[in-house]
Amino acid sequence: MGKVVGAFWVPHNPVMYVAPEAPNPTQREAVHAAYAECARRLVELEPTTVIIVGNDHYILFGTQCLPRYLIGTGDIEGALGSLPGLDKLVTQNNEQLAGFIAQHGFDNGFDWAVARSFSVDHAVSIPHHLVVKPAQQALGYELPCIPVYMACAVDPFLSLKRTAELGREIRAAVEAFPADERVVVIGSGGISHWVGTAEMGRVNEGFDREVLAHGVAGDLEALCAYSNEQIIGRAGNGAMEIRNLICALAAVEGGKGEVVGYEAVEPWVTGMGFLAVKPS
Amino acid sequence: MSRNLVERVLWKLSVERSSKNRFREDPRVFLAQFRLSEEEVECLLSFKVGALQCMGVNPMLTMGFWQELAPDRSMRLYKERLGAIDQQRAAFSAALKG
Repeated sequence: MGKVVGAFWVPHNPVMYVAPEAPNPTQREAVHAAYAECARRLVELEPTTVIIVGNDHYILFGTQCLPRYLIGTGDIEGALGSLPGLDKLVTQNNEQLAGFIAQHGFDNGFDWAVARSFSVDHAVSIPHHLVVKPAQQALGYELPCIPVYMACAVDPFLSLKRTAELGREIRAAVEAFPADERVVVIGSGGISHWVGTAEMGRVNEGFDREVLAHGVAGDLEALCAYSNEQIIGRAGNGAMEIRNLICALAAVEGGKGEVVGYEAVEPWVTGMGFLAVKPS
Repeated sequence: MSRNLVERVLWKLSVERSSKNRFREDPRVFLAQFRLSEEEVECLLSFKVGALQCMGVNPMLTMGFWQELAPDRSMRLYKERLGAIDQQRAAFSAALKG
């Protein structure tokens, strides 16, 4: 029987790679320290597989097919769209577990879209680069990585309630898996950021800390109570990625979080929040 | 405006190298293969990103279109085109290609 032993919230901000020196040194060091602390805590959890929950940015999926939620069950490569300093992702999937999660979903009312091979974007490759890869080095073994993508940035959006249900379903599937997997779920994204709009560069720290506080309390009901209009109005179109965070939180039984770090990084156009989630 | 069709065109211009090249060579010829209205063609030829967004086009696509293909790829100018007020233009970083 598998177990979801923890989760994290981490940003996947490509501007960090495009303009690494843009914020002041204190702020950028704090961000990198937060990623490093998440990596350290990931090692402590002694994981055997990581699931990274991210979203497309209108790169992987075009108007011809916009999946609501997708799981990669086969080989993985990436990232699409090169970023300076970000190595091409090299990792293996846990195909048995990924396929099991997909089938468990089909049997329980979750009609996953399945990618039997998948090229990820920065939503997976950045958390992998800054959290999973350092953890692998410390652990001394490779952590298989299962990508999950949810419709956050391109409408029609997945409802927040459904993202929580999907997190619980992932947990149920892991727990039904015959092997003793120790799974960690990384919710990749946000928090406040405006992408491609006139407000780009604005950060709403108040909203970000509110979302983090809900994560600390494990308050999925409060997180799912935001409307799309509230999220976009208060925290920008990029903040729709809180879906990924909700899914990760819901994947942990009675999960409650601890803030690992937060920086409102206007030069990187994002409120960057980090949360470590443990089961109750 | 057919938002779906405009987004299809912009997505192709974001991810397909051959489409980018054909647009650079002759944008009007490239756009002629789609059943776009004159208004839509004009918006795309003139990089009217504000008008595109007002019509519901996803901002990630308008930004990508601008960064890849606009004659002046300045993000400050992009934000001006979106009607950004002074403070919003200032709340901007060299991070995003000027």
